[in-house]
Amino acid sequence: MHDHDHDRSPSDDHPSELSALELRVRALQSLLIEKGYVDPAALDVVIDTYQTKIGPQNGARVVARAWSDPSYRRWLLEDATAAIGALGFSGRQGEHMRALQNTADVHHLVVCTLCSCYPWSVLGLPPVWYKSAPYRSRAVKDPRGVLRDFGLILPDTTRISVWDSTAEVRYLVLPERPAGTEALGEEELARWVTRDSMIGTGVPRPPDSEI
Amino acid sequence: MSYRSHADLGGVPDERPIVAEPAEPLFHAAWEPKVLAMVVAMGATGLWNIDKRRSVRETLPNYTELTYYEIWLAALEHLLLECGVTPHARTARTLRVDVERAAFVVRRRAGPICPRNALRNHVAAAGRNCGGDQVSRSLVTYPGVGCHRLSHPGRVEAGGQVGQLMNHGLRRDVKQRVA
Repeated sequence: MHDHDHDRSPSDDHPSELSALELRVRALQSLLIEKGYVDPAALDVVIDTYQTKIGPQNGARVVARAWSDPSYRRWLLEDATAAIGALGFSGRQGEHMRALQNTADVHHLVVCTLCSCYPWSVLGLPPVWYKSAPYRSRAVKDPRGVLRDFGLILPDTTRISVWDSTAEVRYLVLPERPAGTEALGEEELARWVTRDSMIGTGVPRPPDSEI
Repeated sequence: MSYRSHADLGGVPDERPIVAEPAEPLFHAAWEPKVLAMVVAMGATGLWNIDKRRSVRETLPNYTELTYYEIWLAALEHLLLECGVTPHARTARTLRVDVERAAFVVRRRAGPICPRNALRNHVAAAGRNCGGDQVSRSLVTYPGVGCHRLSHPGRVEAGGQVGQLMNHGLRRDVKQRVA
């Protein structure tokens, strides 16, 4: 973790000093703890949860299950919130989920033009590019160009469907199961599922492959 | 004063390429996870709801100049001030912080907790935005592209929901108190 990347304070030249932002945050934290609103231990648990427990590995398990089990796939497409919850992934920023099934004819792409709504419970915290102005602007205007930035060129015959998230509804793309994976079990399949393939900016790829 | 969101970026001119960061660290400064944790924890107190939080973020005048977690921090400060979560004088002395922003926070006197009507008006303002010109831009269907947007329902209940702090095993660890 870098301490000063985004800080714009003069203290960058003096690593021993705290940045203005760090001071501001510490003051706020002290305030909330002293007033009894938050327990410092609880803050640590929240941080640890999002750093180590919640991430795209959760969504990958959902996708792998849907690839392996037709009845689960149907459930996921009908009631994603319940089907995902059944695997133990629910809660904040994932209260109302909808799964979008990619086919040869349609490719789904998820964005949040208004802010950075993202299905935390299955994908973790969003990457910087997802929150960036160019992605939020261009995803609805030039989705093919956006996919090209990610190295993903789709056939002209494939329709691109762009889903703009809201504060309430979050989307999970169910990518197509790659050819040649018929013999694989769920655990192995999950390793093919990339985070970007569940946002729509990528497709599944063999484990350990370079981009 | 009319409601102005600075966050609705869908379709605005921006030709910059989208570049993924190497290694994609979750946080870029030590204070960022602290802000995340405070926002999550305070969200669970139910002092404000999701629409209120969103509207405070998107109406920050310097929204476009701030990083993601700077937006979260500034909005959290606004929400705390508006909801009257301010320290006793003793706390102010204890903090001894001379950062302008933090000093502003600690100077404020405690007020009523999120007056119901004030919150309702704020949410109603956000709701108007959802039906206005800015959103219609996002509703345009581009050739060969299906573009979907559900409206933000704009709940008008004050206070939001208490205890929505996820079931990632956190609730038992969190001692929350609504003032």
